[in-house]
Amino acid sequence: MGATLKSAALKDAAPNGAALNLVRFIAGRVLGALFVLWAVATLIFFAIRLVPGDPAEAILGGPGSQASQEALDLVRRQYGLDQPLLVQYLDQLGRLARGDLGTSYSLKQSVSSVLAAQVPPTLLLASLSLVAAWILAVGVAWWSAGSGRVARAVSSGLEVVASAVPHFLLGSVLIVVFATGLGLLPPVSTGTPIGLVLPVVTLAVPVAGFLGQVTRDSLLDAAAAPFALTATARGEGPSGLFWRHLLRHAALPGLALSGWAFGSLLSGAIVVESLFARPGLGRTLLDAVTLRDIPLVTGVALVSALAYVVVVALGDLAEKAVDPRGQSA
Amino acid sequence: MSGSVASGTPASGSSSGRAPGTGGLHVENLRVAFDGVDAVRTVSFELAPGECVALVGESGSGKTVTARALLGLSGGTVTATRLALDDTDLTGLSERQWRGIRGPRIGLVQQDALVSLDPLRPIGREIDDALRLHTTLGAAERRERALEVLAEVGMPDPAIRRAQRSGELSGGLRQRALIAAALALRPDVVIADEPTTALDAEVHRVVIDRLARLRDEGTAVLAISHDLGAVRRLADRIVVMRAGEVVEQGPTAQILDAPAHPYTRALVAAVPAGKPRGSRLSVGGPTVQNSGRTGEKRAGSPAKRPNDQSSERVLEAHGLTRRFGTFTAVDDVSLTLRAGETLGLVGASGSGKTTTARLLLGLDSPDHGLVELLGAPWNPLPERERRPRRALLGAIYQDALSSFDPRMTVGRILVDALTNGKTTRIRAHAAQIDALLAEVGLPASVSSRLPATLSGGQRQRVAIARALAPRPRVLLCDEPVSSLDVTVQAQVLDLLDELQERHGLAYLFISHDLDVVRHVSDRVAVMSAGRIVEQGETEQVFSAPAHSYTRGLLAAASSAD
Repeated sequence: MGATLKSAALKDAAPNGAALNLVRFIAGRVLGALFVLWAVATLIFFAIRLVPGDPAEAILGGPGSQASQEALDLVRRQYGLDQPLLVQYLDQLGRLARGDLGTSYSLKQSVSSVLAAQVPPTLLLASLSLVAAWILAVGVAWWSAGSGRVARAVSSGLEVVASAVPHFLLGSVLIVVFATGLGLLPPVSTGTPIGLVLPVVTLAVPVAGFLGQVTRDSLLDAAAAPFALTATARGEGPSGLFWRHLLRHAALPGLALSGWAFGSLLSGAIVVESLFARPGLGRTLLDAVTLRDIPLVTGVALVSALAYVVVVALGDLAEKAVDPRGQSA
Repeated sequence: MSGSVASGTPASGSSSGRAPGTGGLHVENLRVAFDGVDAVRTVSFELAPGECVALVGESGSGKTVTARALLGLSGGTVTATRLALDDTDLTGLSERQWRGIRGPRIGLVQQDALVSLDPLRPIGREIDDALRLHTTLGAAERRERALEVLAEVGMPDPAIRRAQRSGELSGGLRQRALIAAALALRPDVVIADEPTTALDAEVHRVVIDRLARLRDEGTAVLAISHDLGAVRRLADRIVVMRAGEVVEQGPTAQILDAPAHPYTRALVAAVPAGKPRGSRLSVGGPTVQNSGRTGEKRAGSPAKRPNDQSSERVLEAHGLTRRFGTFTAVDDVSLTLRAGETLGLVGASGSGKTTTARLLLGLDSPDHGLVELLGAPWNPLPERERRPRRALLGAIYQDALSSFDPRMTVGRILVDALTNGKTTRIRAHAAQIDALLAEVGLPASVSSRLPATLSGGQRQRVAIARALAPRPRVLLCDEPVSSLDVTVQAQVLDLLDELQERHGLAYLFISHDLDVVRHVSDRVAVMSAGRIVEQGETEQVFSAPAHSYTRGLLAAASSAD
């Protein structure tokens, strides 16, 4: 019988082919991403046709432009707008598949070059905000974990407020206090690192509130688990316990939410970029939608979707790195 | 095997190089209070190097609080006239000073290594942590030492296992890893808190052996356990606790064979080992919490049981096979259950006991074979055709609490079972509910309570009442007493016995505890790797096992006595 038990135990130790798993994971994600991009392109294409207004008119400078009927007809032919909807759709998909995002109606330059200029500032802003949100959330969790009931209640209250506060309000208050009042930081994003502080904080605080809430819950669960007692009983101090044991458990739900958090940062960027007069995708999108600039809207939507898919995949990889259990399953 | 150890004598010639005789743990008038309420008071005992003292008692008796107070981890206010390890006074230590004691001086081994070792970290890291915190060894030396300790606890292939997490190891291996992590620093005192609970007989033996060796090598071992079989094997002396106080202490043989205090007597009487089928285990008096039961037929009255071939076959399985992918969980299993009899089903975890139970209950369909209920086809069968006869087949499980809807009162739960979910009006069925509760020895007032507010024993009684409500003929009992204290276990086993006699119920009793199975079963089936390797009359299987697997299983278990 000993032999039976032993062979059962050894089965668990079989090599799990981690590299193969990774390849399979990436292949799956690439296929998934292609599907998401197709879905986004399709949705945008049809959604934008549902909006009242004539694209040809938009190309010629908007409804107020009083374009002549000949001009409109010319534009329609030129842009293929006189073709049946299905033909236009397939045409668009074909161009997108070749990587041709078309030309912006309003800016009269290629969408790719607009995006190339506008994507980096937004990615920088969103990434820094995500990092800042994590630092805030973990910092507060660490502080409240070691403290008493009052500290816990205070920080949990702060998190609720933080996650509920709208960007435009928080940003305005920060500008009034730190820029206008104390004069410590520039009210407008100047392109220097110091100019990033207020936009990043404005974006990070609400996300930090959400991350903090889920992190604290799982932190308390982990602290009550038997392995925490085992570690304490071998002489581990509170900070060793937190960094070596509890944080990994506490971070798991937050990591799972990081993809969502990044998405909310991208949409938050629309407000924050306008507020701090920063260049970026958010403002570009706002302008493009206002001017009914279909190619540019499509381009921004596709880039945002792609960024979202990539970040979600990175979040999953981080989750697997922290919690390798059940990888082979 | 443990009989040779003289009680109370410090072991001489300890191999760990400590001066024998001088050290040990001294506890005098220990008191632990939470918010001004005493959880533990007037607890005094001595623990010498090379000695094992066992703290026994029911849950809530203060065993664990006492043990944690010795590590400065009780979480309450600790006072004592004396609390010392060797010459080190343990009262009034700062948190920093405690950290120097925890690990190198006093180590802790908890139950269930799956969650007592950090499930996200490799076991080697856990051992490494202890060494890094308390020694000046370099990384390479620590790795060497970790391998050494793993080898010491009998871990096969320590170099491979070191990199695995607790979830990747079998129950036995991870329990060894947990012990290794506590032993890495060679502490003077090891506290083992229920180290064998919920382990298979084989693993159970390994753990007890390891702790016994530790004691023989000169370490002081404080074992907390409700498993008196393990205690008898391991402990030199026993401290019996109840409601936060020590009621009796003395040498192991004296406490277990000639208990003086009535509470200790009840505790010892509740152990099913060696008690024949049908004899009562629970004693009246202070341990019986539920006053609803009257009449105490104390003496064993093994009523005539229809265990011969004459009584009706209520449940039959023919050649059941169930595969999951390439894994065969249940392999050609056939068994017969007759009215009024109990069939015990034993085997190591993963041997297919629970899958068999699911097939019998019709919760899963077999790949081959069939189940018959009262002579009619039962499984495989479309659920719609099974449903009218579901009432004939009841089940109770180990974790009664999670089998209840936590927002339903006991009354609602029973109405639900009585009317098959057709009504929620408790009032209309009050008489039936009261009768059911009385039948399982609970007062009618329980009807308005939520399951979470009941004790473990009361919950299992409610689960039994619910199973009885639709008047079943067969009850599947899957580890029904495994998480209960021994005295509560005794009450529940007695209750099941009474009910069987009264209603002619047939039980399929699944358990990893061979003593319990031997006590309750008329016949026993032994499962290994999905097959029934042996089946027969209980006494025959236990006293003259035919299959080598059964012999191994029994040897592993009986070495604990």
